[in-house]
Amino acid sequence: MKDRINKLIRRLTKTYQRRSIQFTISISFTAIAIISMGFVGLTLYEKYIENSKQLVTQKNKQLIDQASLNLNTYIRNMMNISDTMYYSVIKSKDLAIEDMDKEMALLYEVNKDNLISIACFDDSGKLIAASPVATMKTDVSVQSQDWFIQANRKIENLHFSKPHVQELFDDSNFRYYWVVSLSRVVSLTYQGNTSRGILLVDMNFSDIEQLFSKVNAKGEGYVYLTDSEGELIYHPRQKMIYTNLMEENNKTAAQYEDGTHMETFQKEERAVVVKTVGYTGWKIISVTPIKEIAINLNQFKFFTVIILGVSVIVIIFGNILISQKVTNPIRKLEKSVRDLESGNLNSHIYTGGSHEIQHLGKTITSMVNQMKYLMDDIVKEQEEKRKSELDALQSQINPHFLYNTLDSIVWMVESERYPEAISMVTALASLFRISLSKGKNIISIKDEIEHAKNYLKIQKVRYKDQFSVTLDIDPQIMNYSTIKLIVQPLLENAIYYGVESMRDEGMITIRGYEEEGDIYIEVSDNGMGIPFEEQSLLLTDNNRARKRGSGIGLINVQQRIQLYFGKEYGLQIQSELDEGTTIIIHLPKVEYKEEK
Amino acid sequence: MKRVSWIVVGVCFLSLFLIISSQVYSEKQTKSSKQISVILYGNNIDRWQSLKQGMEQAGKDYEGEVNYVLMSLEHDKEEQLSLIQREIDNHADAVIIAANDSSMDLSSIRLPSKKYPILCVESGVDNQDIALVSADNYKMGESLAMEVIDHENEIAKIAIVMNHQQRDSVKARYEGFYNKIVEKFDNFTFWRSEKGENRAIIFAQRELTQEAVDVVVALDNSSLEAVIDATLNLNKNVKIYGIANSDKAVYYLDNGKVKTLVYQDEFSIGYISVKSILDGTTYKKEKMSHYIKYHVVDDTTLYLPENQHVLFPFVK
Repeated sequence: MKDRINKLIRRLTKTYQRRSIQFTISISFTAIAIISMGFVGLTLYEKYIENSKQLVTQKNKQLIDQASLNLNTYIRNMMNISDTMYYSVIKSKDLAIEDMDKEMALLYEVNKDNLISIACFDDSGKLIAASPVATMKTDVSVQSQDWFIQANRKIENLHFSKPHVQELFDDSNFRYYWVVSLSRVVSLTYQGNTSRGILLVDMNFSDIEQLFSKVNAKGEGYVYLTDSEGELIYHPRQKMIYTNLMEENNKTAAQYEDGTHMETFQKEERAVVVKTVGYTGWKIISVTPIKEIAINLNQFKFFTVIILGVSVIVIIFGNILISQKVTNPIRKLEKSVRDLESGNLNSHIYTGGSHEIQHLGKTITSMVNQMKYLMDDIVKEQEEKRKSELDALQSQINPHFLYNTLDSIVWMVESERYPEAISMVTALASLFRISLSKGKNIISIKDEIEHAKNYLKIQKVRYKDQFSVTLDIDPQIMNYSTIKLIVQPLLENAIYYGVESMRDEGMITIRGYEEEGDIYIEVSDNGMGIPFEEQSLLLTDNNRARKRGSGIGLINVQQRIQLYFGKEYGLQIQSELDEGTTIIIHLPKVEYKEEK
Repeated sequence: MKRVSWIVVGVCFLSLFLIISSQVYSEKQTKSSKQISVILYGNNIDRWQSLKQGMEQAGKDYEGEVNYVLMSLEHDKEEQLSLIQREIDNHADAVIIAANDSSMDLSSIRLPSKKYPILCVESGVDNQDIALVSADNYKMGESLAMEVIDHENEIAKIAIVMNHQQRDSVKARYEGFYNKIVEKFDNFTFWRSEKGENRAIIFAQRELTQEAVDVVVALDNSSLEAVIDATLNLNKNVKIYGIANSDKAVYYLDNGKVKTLVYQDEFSIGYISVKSILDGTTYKKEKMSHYIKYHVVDDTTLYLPENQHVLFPFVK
């Protein structure tokens, strides 16, 4: 699994890296924006929930305060009824002489919207007075009623019962009322003697129900009422609790101090606000399931998601447009470079967009121009090289030279000068072997001098030793490199233009030496010399074709040396009229390595 | 892709998102509550007070609206069938019935769909596909018999009111009662309404006049009330046992006219029936007695909190 995930991550990274710059910018910016928005959204949402919880709790507190106020007022009214009945009526009457029916009926009439009945019993449970007038059930044991027992237990207090069905009076309409009984011990006077009695005010339970129904219609969650023991007095789902269709945490909640509490009941987290009602000790308990707050937040959540969704879409398209704007010049520049890559050096290089891209474009344009210039140079050089090599090749097969040499050989054979003929043929063969040099242009100085020797050997035979040759080659330079066939044309010039027309014996000297890290080969003759004005033309004027010899001028040798070794190398001419001419070949010191 | 195309795609995408969002939101807002029609046998809705309270509580909890349809006649199978059809035609989302006659043929009803929800409360129909929410009527009968066995002498003559046997609830109660009662008693008489006796009290008075009995057992509200009325009218002193929970039955239990009542928790019947339609909860038949309980009450236990809580509805 881990391997798979790693593989997937690697593949995604690779794909991401391979994608275009626009894709990378769009995806990266979008991802960052979404993550940031998600983080901010989540934080705001959490904050909003927290605030909502506080607001709901605050609201419920206010509701509870309101309910407490209403309930207090209601209870105080009931207590006032009881007090009025007791202090204004019962205490002032001697029941042996007069009854209290009239006053009781009046009090009931005034308060009948909230009351089911008012009744007074003596200590034995016998009914003394009741309003409305009703027949008491015959088999009711008043003394065993909870309100009777509780009133007798704490005689100085008023006692509020739990809600119960009133069972004292007969109602021929088969109606039964749910009541909360307010009972107290009263002092009854009979002929001046006092005895204990119980005053019962049965409050209509539906009043309490209505009072709390209004509260429950306003807030989140619900509000219920218990006595101090946690026994339910009112609950919006009271009947469900009675029939075990649901449960309430009333026993535990009644133990809470007044204030806000968090509880978990039946795996549900709820905020509970508790307030104790004065005198009765009843507890008003507000319950708000946290889930319910969350449900109410759904609308907020929904709009948040919509806003986030719209923002994400806008961001995606914004990013695409921006990245397009940013990358378009780069893409255009890249397209120009691609054209260049395909060989089209004349294609237009894009130089628009931001100043960075403009700078890049201009630099590439300049580079291309430079390249074109260099390439033209190379082409030109190559062409010259080819031309000079062709010229050199031509010199190798100079038909006149070959014809004359062969003619000399024939003459030697006819005059039976066989050793000379053999020597000549051998020299000719060696000459051609070095000329060819397996097609190489660079040969060792040793081979070049050997070639010159062979040439001179042949020419000496032809010219019947009209000139002498002195060779002075430093053996140290023999293994350095040279362009082939550069000495022979100089010798040819020395023979044709130097010593051929001399009356005296001509002298040709070949010197080879190393100086200041370079190689020099000098070819000198003691011929008539070259006028000064011609000297410079010999190395520059390409149109000065030679009339005799191989036709290869000094310029050819000069060009070939410079093509291979650079402009700083080449030929120098030193000549004086009637004194002779020396041509100096200047070469770099490059060790010759035989190619295998 | 050209920039214009991108913008067009973006605008389309955004519009689509907003349209879908507004649709979803408006669906949420306009989610209407389900309409449930309740067609109960009998022409007096007061008898169903607890059931109604249970149904209304479930309607409030699960966002449903419960409408009660009264029958014009006390017991008329055809009328109940036509009322069911009428409510379905009037676009009720579900129908709950307390079947007046369990043999009624619901296959004649034109349903808008095969899965149209119809549910029975208190008394069912002979159709396996239609669930019944009720306490175990057979056991209620047995429990009533146990009360008679415990309190009456074995030589007592017992009259069993056989009215409304067309309801499977009453029939099951009778079977439970009879199968148990014969373990101790053997002197029975069976009272039935005769033709022309449209009011139950008439047949009860006739039977009471014709035959002297020690114990009368009534297995439904209207029969029990008829027996009470008849005994009061004729000033007959018979011990009455019954399965009922009407105000009148409770009242006469309270003043000693009725010896013992067996009653079921109709608040829970009402609540569970509506809840199961609104939230789709399925209550298995064999587990129904776990949810809907019945109780045995006499004049000494009537005001015990557990009986007060179930038997007496909150009257506003």
